[in-house]
Formats: sequence, C-alpha cells, structure tokens
Amino acid sequence: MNKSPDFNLPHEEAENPQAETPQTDNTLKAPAEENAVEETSSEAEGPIEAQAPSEAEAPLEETRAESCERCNEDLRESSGKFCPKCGFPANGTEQDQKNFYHALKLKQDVLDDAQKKLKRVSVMLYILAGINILYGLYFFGAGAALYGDDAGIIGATTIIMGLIFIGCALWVKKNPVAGTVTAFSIYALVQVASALVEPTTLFQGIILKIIIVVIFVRGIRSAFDYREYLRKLDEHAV
Amino acid sequence: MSTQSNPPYGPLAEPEEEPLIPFLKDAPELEACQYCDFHQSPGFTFCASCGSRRKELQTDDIQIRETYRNSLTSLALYGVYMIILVVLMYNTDESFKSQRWLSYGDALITIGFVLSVKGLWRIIAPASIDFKALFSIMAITLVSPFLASSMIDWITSSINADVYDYIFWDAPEPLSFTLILIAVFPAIFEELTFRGFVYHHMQKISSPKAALWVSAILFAMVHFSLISLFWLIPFGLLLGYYRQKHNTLFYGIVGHFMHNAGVVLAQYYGWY
Repeated sequence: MNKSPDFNLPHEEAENPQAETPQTDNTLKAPAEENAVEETSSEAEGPIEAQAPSEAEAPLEETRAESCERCNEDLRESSGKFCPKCGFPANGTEQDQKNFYHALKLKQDVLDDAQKKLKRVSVMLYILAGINILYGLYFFGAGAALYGDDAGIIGATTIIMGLIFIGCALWVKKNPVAGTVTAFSIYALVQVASALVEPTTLFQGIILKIIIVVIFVRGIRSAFDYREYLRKLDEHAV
Repeated sequence: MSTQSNPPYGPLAEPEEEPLIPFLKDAPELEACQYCDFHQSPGFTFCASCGSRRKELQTDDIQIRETYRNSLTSLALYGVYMIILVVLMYNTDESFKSQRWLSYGDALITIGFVLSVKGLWRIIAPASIDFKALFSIMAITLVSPFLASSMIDWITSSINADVYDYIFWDAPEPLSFTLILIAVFPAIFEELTFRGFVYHHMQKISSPKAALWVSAILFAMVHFSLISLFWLIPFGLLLGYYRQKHNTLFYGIVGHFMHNAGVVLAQYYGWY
C-alpha cells in the first residue's frame, strides 16, 4: 500500500505562520467560519472563489515560481496561480497552499479509511483460512475415526478452501476489487453448499456470518474508494 | 480592410472580421476553463487560474462510479440467481426429464442476463474466423477430455470415491440427449455467463487480467467439485484467454463443446 505523504508545508515545520503574520479583518475568522472555508476548499474540484488578497494572503514570494515545487511542472509560461498538472497553488497565497494541503489531507483520510477496511477483509480471510485449515487437519486426525472414508475428502476440501482464502487475502492487497469480490463469492458459495448438505449449518454462528458479510460488503465499497482516491492523489502528485 | 462596397440604400454591409492583432492567428489554440473561462494551454488537469479540476475528469469520475455500481448490482443479481439455481439443482433428481427443464430455464435466464448488457451478444460470433485460433483450441480440447478424465479417474480411485456418471440413461436417445444437455447447453450458456457476463462486468470494475482470473475461478467453483477444480481453473483460464485475445466467445464455445463432448463420449464408450 502507498506510503502516506508528508502534508506539512516546508515552512510550517520550522515556524508557525500565524504567529508572525499580522491578522487583518479578513483573516480573523471564528472557528466555524474557518472550517466552512476549509470544507469548501476540501472538495478541490469546484471553482475556488476569488478573494481579495489580504496581507496574510499575499503571495509567498514576490517573484513567480518557475516550476511547481510538488511535480516540477514548468510554470514559466503559465500566468495563473495554480499548477495545471497537480493543482498546487505554486503562485498562490499561504492560505491557498494551506487549503490545498487540507484538501489533500481529506483525500488521504478517505484513502486511509479504505485501506483500513480492506486490511480488515484481509485479516478476516486469514482467520477464515486458519479455521478451515485447522478444521481440515482435524479430519485427518481425530475426526478420521468419526467420519470414516469421508474424512479424507472433507479434510482435503476444507484445507483447499483455506488455501484459497489465503490466496484471496493476498489478492486483496494486489487488486482490492477482484480479490474482495472473488473471496465474497467463494464464501457465499461455500455457505450455500454447506446449507444444502446440512440445512442447520446456515443458522450456526449466524451473527458471525452477518459480521463477515458486512465486512465483505464494506470491503467491496472501500475497494472502489481506494482506487478512486489513489488516482485522485496521483493527480496531485502525491 | 474591407473590399465590400456599400449599397446606395439600406443598412451598411458588415465589414469582414479581421483579427485585431494579426499575429494571434498563428498562436497555439488555447483551452478555456469551464468554470472561470481562463484560457490556457490545452490538456491541463487543473485550471491555472481557479484551481478547479477539469470538468471532463469529474464527469469521467461520475461515469466510472455509475459503471461500478451497475456492474456490482448486476453481478450481485447474478449471484442470487446462481444460488437459486444451485439449490434447485441440488433438490432436483438426476433424471433426464428434470434436468432438461432445469437446463431450459437456465438457458432462458442466462439469455436475459446477457441481453441486459448492451451489445454483449455481438461478441458471440467473430467478424471473421481466425482459423489458426480455431484449430488451436480444437487441438487442445481434443486431448483435454482424456487428460481430465484420466486424472479424475486416478484421483477418485485413489480415494475410493465414485466417478460421476454424466450419461442420461433414461433419455430416449442417451448419447444424443446427453450431448445436448452436457456438451451443447453448457458450452453456449456457461460461456455466455462466465466469459461473457461475468467477464464483462469484472473488466468494467477491475481490469481484463482480473476479469480473466475471476471468471475462471468462479467457473470452477460453481461446478462444486473439488477434484475438478484442478483442471477447471486452467480450463477456464484457457477459454478466457481466447475470449480476451480475440474478443469473441466463439472459440470458447467451440472449445468448451469439444471438451464436454469428449468427456461424454469417453464415458459412454468407456475409452478411459
């Protein structure tokens, strides 16, 4: 999975810009108002309303940036304040850059959340695999006496199912959509097959089964978010 | 300057439009931002003036999201149908009469699912037949039934399991009807389902490579046979490869038919 980018502005690490910048009427905002501004900018997809520049919002440097500091795009021919490749306000104000990083942070949060849910799917698949393999081994050991000739087939089937779940867990990391959809389909088919052979198994551990289904469904949704936000962050040269 | 002469009466003729700055004629074409109308070099991702993400990209995102949702819904619906079919198959006796009706019903519903995807039926037949591909799949599936049958025979005998009898001995013409129900129907409708419907939707929500693997794995899984799993996945991958390479189901249908027909004939005549 991708490494989280560093969202701190280079000068933010060294000093607090608020402490040095004299606050004018434009910059003095109530916390709620400030959040509203940030939320609007967080979408980073709609137009950003032009605001009268204040002292705090004056361009960071008097001279225009020749290239984008994030993606190295040549900006000598560009008269705008944003980088046309990654959207970074290279010639914007300090506030513009803050808004940009805030929007990135929100996108990264969605990505992190999707990653967390996909990790949950992986962990669950490893647990399912472990249970299946242990259960399969039981049929080759103590269960062999109870189940006779069928013990070998049941044991082999369960161990193979366990190995398939391990394969799916690894696949979820590489291709979240395909891995999660396949794992969910296999899990559903196994449940149906078990219920056909022994209908009472359908309701055994029903709460656990519901939890597993919920994790799968959330995983499938997150798999899409993961792909979408990975692409969006890639556009911002993260 | 304008060369047009004005008429003696009536409104004056419109002068021909000329660029205010003549050298701008040769300037590279600029593209306007759809939000702030700022003109800039074409192909930008973000507007240099207002910082908005290009409108087309946002429209693409909406379309991708819509496609993802539709494909997932279609796959989920097919999954529900598959569960119902499996339950019906399990509770239906193995007589020719019962299996025949089940196959007819499955065929009709599969056609419904295929028709729900616009233009999917067009890939059933290729625009022109690639004989090299046709002969190669025929050659492979001429041998594969014997390899698969021998392998299954060897595994089942080693674990003292029974070999599944495909032949409908109760049918008026056992061999002909078995070939129709075991070779013709699955060849057409399983290909339409897995290399057609499932492949199409998986390709939309993931990638062609993932679609190839998922369709092969699900194809193998729905046969509910652990022993067959070892050759059904490679077989599904082979059929998927032909579908992917030639963008048609034709070679897959031919190969699937030949393979299943080979298994039926081998069992009927006791060739292995």
